[in-house]
Amino acid sequence: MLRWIAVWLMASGLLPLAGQATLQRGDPVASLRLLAAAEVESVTLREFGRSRENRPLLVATVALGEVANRASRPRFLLVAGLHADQEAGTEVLAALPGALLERAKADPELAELLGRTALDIVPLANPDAWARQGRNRLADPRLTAVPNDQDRDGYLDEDGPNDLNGDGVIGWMRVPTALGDHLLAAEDPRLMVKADVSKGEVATHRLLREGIDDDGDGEINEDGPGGVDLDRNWPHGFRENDPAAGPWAASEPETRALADYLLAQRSIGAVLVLGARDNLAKAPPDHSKGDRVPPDGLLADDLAFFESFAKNYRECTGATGGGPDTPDGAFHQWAYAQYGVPGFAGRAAYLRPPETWPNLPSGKPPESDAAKQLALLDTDSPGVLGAWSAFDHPTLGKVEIGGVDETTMRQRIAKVRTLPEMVDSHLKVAIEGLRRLPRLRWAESSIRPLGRGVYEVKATLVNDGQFPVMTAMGRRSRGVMPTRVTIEVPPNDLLVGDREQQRDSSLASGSTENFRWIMRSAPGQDLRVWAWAEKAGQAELRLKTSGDLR
Amino acid sequence: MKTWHWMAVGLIAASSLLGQGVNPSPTPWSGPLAWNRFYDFPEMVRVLHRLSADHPGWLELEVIGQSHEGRNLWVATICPPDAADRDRRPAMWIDANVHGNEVQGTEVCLYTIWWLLENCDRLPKVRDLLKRVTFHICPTVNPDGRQYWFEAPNTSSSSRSGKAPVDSDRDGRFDEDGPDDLDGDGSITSMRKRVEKGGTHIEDPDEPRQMKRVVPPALGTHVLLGSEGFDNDGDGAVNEDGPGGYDMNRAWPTDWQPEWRQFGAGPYPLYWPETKAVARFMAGKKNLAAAQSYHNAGGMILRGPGADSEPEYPGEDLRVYDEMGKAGEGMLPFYRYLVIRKDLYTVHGGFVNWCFEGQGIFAFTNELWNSEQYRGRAAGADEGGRGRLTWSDQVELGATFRPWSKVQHPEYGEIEVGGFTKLSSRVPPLFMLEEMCHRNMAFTLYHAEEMPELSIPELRVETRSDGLLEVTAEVRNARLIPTRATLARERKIGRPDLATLTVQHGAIVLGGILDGPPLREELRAATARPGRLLIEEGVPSRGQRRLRWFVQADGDAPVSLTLTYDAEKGGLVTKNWTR
Repeated sequence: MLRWIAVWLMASGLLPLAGQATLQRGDPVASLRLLAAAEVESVTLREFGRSRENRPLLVATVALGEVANRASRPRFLLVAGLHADQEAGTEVLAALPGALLERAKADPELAELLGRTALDIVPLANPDAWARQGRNRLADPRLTAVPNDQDRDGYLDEDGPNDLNGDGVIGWMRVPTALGDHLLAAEDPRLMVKADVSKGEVATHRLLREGIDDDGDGEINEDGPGGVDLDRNWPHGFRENDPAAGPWAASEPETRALADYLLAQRSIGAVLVLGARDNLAKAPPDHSKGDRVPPDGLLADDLAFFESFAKNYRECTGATGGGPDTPDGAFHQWAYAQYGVPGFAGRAAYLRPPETWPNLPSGKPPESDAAKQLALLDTDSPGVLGAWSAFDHPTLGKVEIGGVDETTMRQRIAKVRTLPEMVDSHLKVAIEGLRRLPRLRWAESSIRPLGRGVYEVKATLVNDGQFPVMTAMGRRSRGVMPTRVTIEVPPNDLLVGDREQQRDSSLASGSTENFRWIMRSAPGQDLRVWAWAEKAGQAELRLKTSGDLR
Repeated sequence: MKTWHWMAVGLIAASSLLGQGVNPSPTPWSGPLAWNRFYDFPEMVRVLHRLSADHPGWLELEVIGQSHEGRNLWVATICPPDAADRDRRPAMWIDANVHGNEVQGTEVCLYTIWWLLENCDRLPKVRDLLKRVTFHICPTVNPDGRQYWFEAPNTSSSSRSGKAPVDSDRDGRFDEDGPDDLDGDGSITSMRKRVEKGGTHIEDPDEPRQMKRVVPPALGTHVLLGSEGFDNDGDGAVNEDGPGGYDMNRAWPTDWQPEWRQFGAGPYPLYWPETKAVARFMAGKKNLAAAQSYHNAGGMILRGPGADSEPEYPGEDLRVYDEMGKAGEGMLPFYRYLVIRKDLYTVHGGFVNWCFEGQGIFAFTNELWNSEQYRGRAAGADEGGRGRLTWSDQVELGATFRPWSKVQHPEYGEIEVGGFTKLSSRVPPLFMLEEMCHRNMAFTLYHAEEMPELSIPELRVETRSDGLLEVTAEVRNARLIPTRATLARERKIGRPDLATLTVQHGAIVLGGILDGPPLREELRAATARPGRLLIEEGVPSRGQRRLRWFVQADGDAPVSLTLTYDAEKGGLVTKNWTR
């Protein structure tokens, strides 16, 4: 694994620094190009579309063994870089194929797994925002580069944030006013919290992003650079009339290209997105509303496999925190609710909770999630994060600039974690995902002579994977094709049962489906029965009318 | 499949090729324009080019995309040759034939183009209309479906879809088992089989060509077997996976729902190239204020909402819709003004719903042709369905009904095939086509005429003191459609209207919108950028918006003011004042 991480670092123009790779902006797929060129038998790098600014959208596929069946193998799709500030996810995924191959060379079981499955990796789903972020760090990294009139005043991108104190980042402004809705958090004055009037709290500040009223309309930062959030542009739970979600669902070429890729690669059996959203860190996932139409959570029948994967994910990555996973146009939500496969979302880097929490400057241990993260980051870089400093604002008067936000926090966390550590934890996740893909097997079979050249054939199909052949949501949405079982018998010889059967069955882990036919045949005749499931591949059963199982 | 099945397929295919009446307008069109015939897709393109050549400058033809099978999507734009404000004046979108079998809307579009161009210099009303509005007309949104309806044997209801293959029966094969023209007559009619006992139907004693259901325990003499066809793929089902299998009028972004909730919606909104091309074109024309989509059939003037997921439209918008809808009922005898979700059925992702709920464009769907028009409502009930047969016999001289005839069916043995052809039911008889075209065009031009027409009748300036000027402007809309629908302003669709006051030799002190009745008006002042007011409410239906500014001038020195009122859907008007 280290060899390929070193390749990634060199290709990205980064140098390892005392065991910690600083996550800087380079060509995130350069290492994949090198890898694909060096490992032509096992890694392919394909363009599946183009961004709005005509940058290639690339998917790397890692698979071993027979080439002819790779397109139809069960596959696990990992996606990162829907937002440009999710560098950790992009860089982890760019390094993952090399690490996976390296491990497979020493691990026959993994090599066997990669010989019957495939791992698809899209490391950078929003290359335009990534490129723009290199030019303009003040732009909202969640948005694509297409200009947008977010405040509907006829001008495009005319009033974005401003780096007023020249520290290179867009922080917060806290404006002292009795008309605000925030106050300084009691446990750490670097944090701002909303005043809870019901508890007698009195607001002391307004909280605004760092900036001025560039266009003189009385508003601050209401129309910054950039257009559409690609993780709010998907059809499930799409919020119409939200400018950042796009003019309509799947309006953006990046969204359509990724959707079309999934629709063409029908054997993708699970999806994991590394980005800003998270439905894995927090247990149990919100499924209370799953029976609504349309569903805005997990269906109850899908909870077991989902929770099992999430538990494993937490063990691999140390994932903590997380929040409600609302269906507002997110990619992983579409993958589950409409495409019909397990749709997971996590972050590439999580802070690992300590045995005991360090005290905050107040001398007390932290209570809120934000304070805990601050406390941990303080141990790595004391006092760097979240400090406020006075500033004389042109229209607001005396304010303070500073504070922490989720993006900054995430980037800091990624810096605390080393790249090898993050790659290693997600390598385990990827392997586990491949292992859990559904897998068909004929568990039992019998062929019994009934006399007069008539035979009864019975067979039981089982799913050896941990994900179902068809999720409950996939069955409801008809996003997943039915399982097909075909017995190769001349139609006129089949007396009971259909030659081809379709079953809209979940075939959850370990569960079985029974099949029975009665047919006319000569003794010693070879019989072939095969099962096919879109997400689980094919299983063949060979029988002989003598009753021997081959 | 048994060998003799394949032989049957071959015979049927051969007989189809020899069959009569496959194309309802079999004579290639080359003469003068006629409105008693249907134009297939190549003919439609030729009509457009001829009209363009006959009216240089007035008609611009544009290809906005390609269909799944690669046919061009044509849009005809009608506007005077010297109009520099083509994309700033109010514009109307007209389209048709998004469902491949709903063909006659294309003829309404072609007729509209022809009639407007023929009359733009003759009739003052047409001349005045074209002086202030632009028309974008897309005669077919589904050219593949149109051509398939003309070329292939079909029913009057097949095929709605485009031609991208779909695995409708989810068996891994695409479009492998559609209808088959068993008797080779160019139409897909019905199949019936005589049975010894236990049938569900009998021949109607009064009209043996018509089948009548029997009530158990009575036993019928026949079973009905659906549309002509056989089990092409040997899966035991007949006609379960025909060409296409989706609905491009369920694929629009507003209230789009996935396939399991709305048949035909596709994997995501605007999935098919035809819909994507139209949406891109329309979204780029912010001046579109009206839209009309032609379908068939039933004689309906339909508005949204399409589903219960969308609340009823705001009262001010309903008044606009209702006035136009009622006017339409007057212009279109046998047509009723209806609400899709309440009076028809639930539609998620419909085109006119996207137009209004997503783009703020007042839009109707007209379901062209109502079979009551055959004989008139006074003729009463359909005489147990026999009215259509009587009409076919007496007026159309048998053109729209195929008598039952025996054929050998691969699965069912000897059966009979017969019934109404694709030229019945949903399309008008050709001799009634021109009237249908004209009346529907008239309604659509009325709709266009009611798009906003703005003026600034007054820019009143009064001197307060010390050179302070009070500037009051009234912006009027003479038409029914407001510059901004209430729904659009509630959902923040589109840019608000923009009033810009520029001052030479003076400075704007304050500006804003006057709210309330005359003499009790209050100024809703803009605290920032008073010279550039964004007016979310727009100018209402047949109403006005009053604005006021305070301008500081230098005593009695010369001052000049220019007010520009810019409404995305209402155009741009300007007024000057100089002292």
